[in-house]
Amino acid sequence: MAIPRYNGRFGKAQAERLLWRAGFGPRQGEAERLAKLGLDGAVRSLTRPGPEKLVGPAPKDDKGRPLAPIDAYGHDHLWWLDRMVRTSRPLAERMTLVWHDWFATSNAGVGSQRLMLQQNGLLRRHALGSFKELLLEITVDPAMLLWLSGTENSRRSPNENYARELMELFTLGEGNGYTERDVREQARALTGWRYTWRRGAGATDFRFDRERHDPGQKVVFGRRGTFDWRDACNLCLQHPRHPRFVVEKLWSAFVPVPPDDATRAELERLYRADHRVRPVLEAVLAHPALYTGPRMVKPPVVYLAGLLRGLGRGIDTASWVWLGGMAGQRLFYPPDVAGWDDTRWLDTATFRGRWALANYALGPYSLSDRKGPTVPNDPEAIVKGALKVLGEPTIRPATRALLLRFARSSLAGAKTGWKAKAYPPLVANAVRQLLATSPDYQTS
Amino acid sequence: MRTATLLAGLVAAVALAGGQAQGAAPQRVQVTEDEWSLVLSRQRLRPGVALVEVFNIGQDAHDLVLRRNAKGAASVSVPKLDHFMRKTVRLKLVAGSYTLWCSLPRHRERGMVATLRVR
Repeated sequence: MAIPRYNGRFGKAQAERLLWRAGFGPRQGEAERLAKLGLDGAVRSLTRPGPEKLVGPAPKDDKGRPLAPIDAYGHDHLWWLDRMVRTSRPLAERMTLVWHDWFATSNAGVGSQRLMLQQNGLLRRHALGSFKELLLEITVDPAMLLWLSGTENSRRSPNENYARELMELFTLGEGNGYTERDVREQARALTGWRYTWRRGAGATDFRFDRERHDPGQKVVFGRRGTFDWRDACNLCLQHPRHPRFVVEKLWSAFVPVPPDDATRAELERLYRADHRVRPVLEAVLAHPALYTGPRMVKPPVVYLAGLLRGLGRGIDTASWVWLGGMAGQRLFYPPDVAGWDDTRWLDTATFRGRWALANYALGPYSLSDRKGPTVPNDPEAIVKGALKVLGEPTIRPATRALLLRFARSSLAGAKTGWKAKAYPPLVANAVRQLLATSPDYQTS
Repeated sequence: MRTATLLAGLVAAVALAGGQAQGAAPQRVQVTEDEWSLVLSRQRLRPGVALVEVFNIGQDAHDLVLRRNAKGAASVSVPKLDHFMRKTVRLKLVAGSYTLWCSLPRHRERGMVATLRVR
């Protein structure tokens, strides 16, 4: 059975949703251009992009200095946010974020921005490629080895940390087809990794050391052998429950409701062939559920990157670091090994962060009666202006009507005198803020 | 040896840099403090102005002293930082080898010491 494919109208609104779900939202005019490619062309432009071009002003800190992602706190976050804002390969960058959440490694446990950025490069290299290769490489990635105790796992003192998460979080799901004995045996298979500690430089020269590896017989998922770390990964990849885990987790990154059984089975079949992610993504991004299903809350960093893309603004302040934390998403610091909890994106605490993100993003575009263009004392024009500044996002008629009502009531007492001049820019600023924080803009 | 304060460092080869020179952005290095290590984001810098960010990721408080390994060289010190606090100092570094350490009792002996080369 073929996987269902969306065959409704693919216009600006659908292209916009695709760009938000599979990237970081449209730049000015980008949704219209994507819509002209049709569904297949649009999806392929995302899943098979050309070489990366970073478009827009180079990132800088508040003093106009270039970023130092390895050497300055928070600049790692700014560096990646800049990639999200300026990339010409939005899906590859979005998948890098998906993998960061999937293999959630935190610098809180690694203590090295250099190693975190090295892992980030690994995730980007495999963003649209093979899950098998990604799993094998991330298993022995230095940041991961530090984060999940891989270098503390030796034949004399096995550590189950990575073995447990390998199955629970990365490949099978909690309690899904493995036992506590499998965890212990997988830990033995994963033994052997170490590093050299150099004073001043920290952990370096990560390598496999046979002396630390347990070469004995192990029994994993009922299979017997002298397994090593590669086998530990491959055994998970060959586990009959693995394809379903990957497909459901990938799907949930793009669609907020589970796939129907037939779709899921077909996606599993696609994935099972060779563990490639691209064919699965192409099927998910063309599926009717993405275009006709419920709206999805944008993760904070996606919301911000999209705001900046829509505004045409580059990275020019380090405020995005603490504001990102306030909104619930500090890059390179997921809250725990399970990654970010999507149900927290719009709670009463993190919404305040989102409000502040919008406020800071719109700050440089703020209007007043003392500077900038004259704002007409016209509610319609003010709402139109707000939409234009944010890159003409599609909003529901009801939302537009609410913004208009707000503008009308705010300007009602400002027909004459100083208020006639002073109020319109203030109301325009407020309408922009309300639009950027509206349910229509917070979700896609 | 008595550790000089930040201001006293002005008189020596390690000096707090004044206003930003026009042109190239200053070099940067991050010094991560933990129990019991100091890790530098890079071990080598060029002579000139540098922003040194001290970041305490340990559980305990730590300070930092930086001194060029030369006779008569004064020290620059960064006051004690609590867990997850950080402080950036702007220094003018001349060529040479510098030792960095935490001066709290027994912290250096436990491993909180590192070398930075400037050339």
